[in-house]
Amino acid sequence: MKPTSPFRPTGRTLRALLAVGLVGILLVSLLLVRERLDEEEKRATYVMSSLSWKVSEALLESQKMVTALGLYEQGGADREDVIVAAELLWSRTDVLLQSEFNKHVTLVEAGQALQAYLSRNEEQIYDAAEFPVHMAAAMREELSEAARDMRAIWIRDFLGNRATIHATATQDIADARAFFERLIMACVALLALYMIAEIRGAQRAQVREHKLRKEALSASEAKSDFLANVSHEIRTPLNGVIGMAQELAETQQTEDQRQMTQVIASSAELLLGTINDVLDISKIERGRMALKDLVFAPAERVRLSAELYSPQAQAKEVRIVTKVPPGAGAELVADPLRFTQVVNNLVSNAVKFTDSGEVTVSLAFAERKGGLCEVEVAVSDTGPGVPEGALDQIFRPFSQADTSATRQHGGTGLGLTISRAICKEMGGDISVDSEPGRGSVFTARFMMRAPRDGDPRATLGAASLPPKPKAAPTKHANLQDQKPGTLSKDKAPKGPNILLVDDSATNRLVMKRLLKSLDARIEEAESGLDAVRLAETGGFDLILMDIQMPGMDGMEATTEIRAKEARGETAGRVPIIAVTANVMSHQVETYRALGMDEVVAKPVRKAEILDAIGQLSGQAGKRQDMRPH
Amino acid sequence: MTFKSAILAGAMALATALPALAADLPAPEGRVVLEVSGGIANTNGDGVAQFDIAMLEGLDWREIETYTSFTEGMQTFAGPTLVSLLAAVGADGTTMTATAINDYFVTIPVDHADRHNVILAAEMNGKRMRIRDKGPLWVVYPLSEADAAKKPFDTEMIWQLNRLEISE
Repeated sequence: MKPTSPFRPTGRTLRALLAVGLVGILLVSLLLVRERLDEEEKRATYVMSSLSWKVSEALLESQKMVTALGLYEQGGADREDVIVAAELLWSRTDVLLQSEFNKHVTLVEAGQALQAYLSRNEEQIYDAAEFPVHMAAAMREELSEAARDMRAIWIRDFLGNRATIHATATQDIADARAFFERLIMACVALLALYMIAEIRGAQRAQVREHKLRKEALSASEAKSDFLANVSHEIRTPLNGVIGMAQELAETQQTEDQRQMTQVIASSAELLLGTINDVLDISKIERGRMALKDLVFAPAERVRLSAELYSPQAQAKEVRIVTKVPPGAGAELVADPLRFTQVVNNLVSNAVKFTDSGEVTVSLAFAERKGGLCEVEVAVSDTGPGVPEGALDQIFRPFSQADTSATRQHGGTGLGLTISRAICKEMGGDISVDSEPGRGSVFTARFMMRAPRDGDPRATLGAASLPPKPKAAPTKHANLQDQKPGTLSKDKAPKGPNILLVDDSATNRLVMKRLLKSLDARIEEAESGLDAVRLAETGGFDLILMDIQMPGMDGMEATTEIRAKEARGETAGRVPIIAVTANVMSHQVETYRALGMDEVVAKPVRKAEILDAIGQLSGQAGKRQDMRPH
Repeated sequence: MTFKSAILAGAMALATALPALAADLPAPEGRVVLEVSGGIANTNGDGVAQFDIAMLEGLDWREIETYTSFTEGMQTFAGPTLVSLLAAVGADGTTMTATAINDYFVTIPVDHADRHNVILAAEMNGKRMRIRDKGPLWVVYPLSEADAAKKPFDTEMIWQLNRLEISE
């Protein structure tokens, strides 16, 4: 489950548009600021030069009037000339005082002083009947001084204090700049807010996604749990079917009955295979394949696999040929069970789809860097081949090249999917090369490493063998070797004392029949509580423990028993074999951690349970003889 | 300040070149406020045309309402149009040099006279302008308030005008 729409047009788009708008405003503002500042700078320059001009014109006209008065005193100019000079000076002082720069106090005062001078002397110059020379001289002196004062002010302010004048002239610029700076700050602040909002939004989306993913994960886990439960529920009755069919096959039967029994057995085995496949897929999907690192010989496994399917092949006039290179007895480290599962799958497919000819299983090794070795198993057949268009499809779950082939050849169609997943997990892959009508070659590759001291070894038990309609002869056949006459039920059992714990009466019945050959004394417990109570009484050589039971389950019971043993409340440690349909690898690990010695999967096959008991007796042989007496 | 009398000189080249337009202007009776020289056909002095206020009043006298960047608010100016003055002197040229009493001067294209309806303002708001009020003549370009703020003709709008010289 994924959030389907990464684009929510409303909020985010609006915010993005807003941000773009802000950037636009910012740019326009900056342009405006530049333009405005340029203008203001020009204006300030103009105001400065214009003021300079006005001051110098006023000074010039003052000087001209001084000259006119001087000439008048000497008789070189008439009264009219003085009036014109006064008029001109008047106009210049007006211009100066009305200038855009009349904030300049001392200068304004100097201008006002000139005007006051003119207005004080206006009547004398313009209208008085007489304009005596000594008055003109006095006026000239006064004007000279006023002009000098003004010039001094100008020199001081314009040349000496230019910074102040410039500051006054550029006051507007400063104002404009302050305004635009505020505007730009506001834009930047809004942009920052936008970014924060975006980041928060992204964060929330992440949280939401995380939540959805968790929900999806728990949904997937629920599915896997469901699968595990269903598989358990199916395995338990299947245990009864397979066990009873095996027993039935050993009784006296007519030919018809024998065939029917065989159909029951093979159907049940097929059903079990399907359940195993589905469980495997479920493990793959949950990434819980939990590969083991054990020392084993791949060549041996390949030979066994070929042997295993030989009877089926022979029935169809198909020959299985194994090509193992010399020196291939080498031992490597990987998961032997999974390796065997893949090889079996490929061989059984080849046999299944080939009607006549040959199935060749060849093994090859290639050294790789770092002590690694690539193991290649190629299985070629002379079957119909895979149509080109279906080459990819056959690795998909529940798919066979031809859907009708499912009916024709049986199987869940999960085998290759599982095999490929296993190969990938083991550092390789499966490839197929096929020519319709001439056959196919499936090549599985695995990465394995050279064994080191202390690596655990694989045991070649029945558990490593695939489901088969008939129990394979076990290597620990000595357990089954009965001395003649010991089968008699009248005689007291001479085999081991076994405590059989299972809440299902059918399962207990099946197990008792499977263990018949041991000639064991079997006590039954219907619950975990019963088991603990009986175990306390002591005297058992072995406990077969079901896991899923109402009330105290097998795990609790085992914990209790082991605890009592540790406290010395019972005599010695009794081996416990878990007999359960819950055999996912993490479950198996739990059982072992709790103190169980072996795990046998339900439905129980005779060979497997005997094998497990045999292994325990092998280990325990030194301290306790569990063999039939 | 009085105008110095024109020195004796030979006949004006332009005056002789345009005999058909040449005509004598009446001599000014009052105080001379404007003297036109250069490329002119009609004179009343030694190659110059002198005007007193009465002569200017005899030209195309207009009253306009306008704005200037030198004044606050709307002003009423009155005076002869520059076009009528140029016609009266038979001006022939493309530019004129306008000079103020204090010898400040600017150059004005002759075609401005017609294109911008320029007047030689002698009165401002009904009063004859004194020198201290930028008189006796002020070259005024009629402008709207908005146009005046852009100061398009501030250079040309010379005040205290008393001389014009027409040239090529």
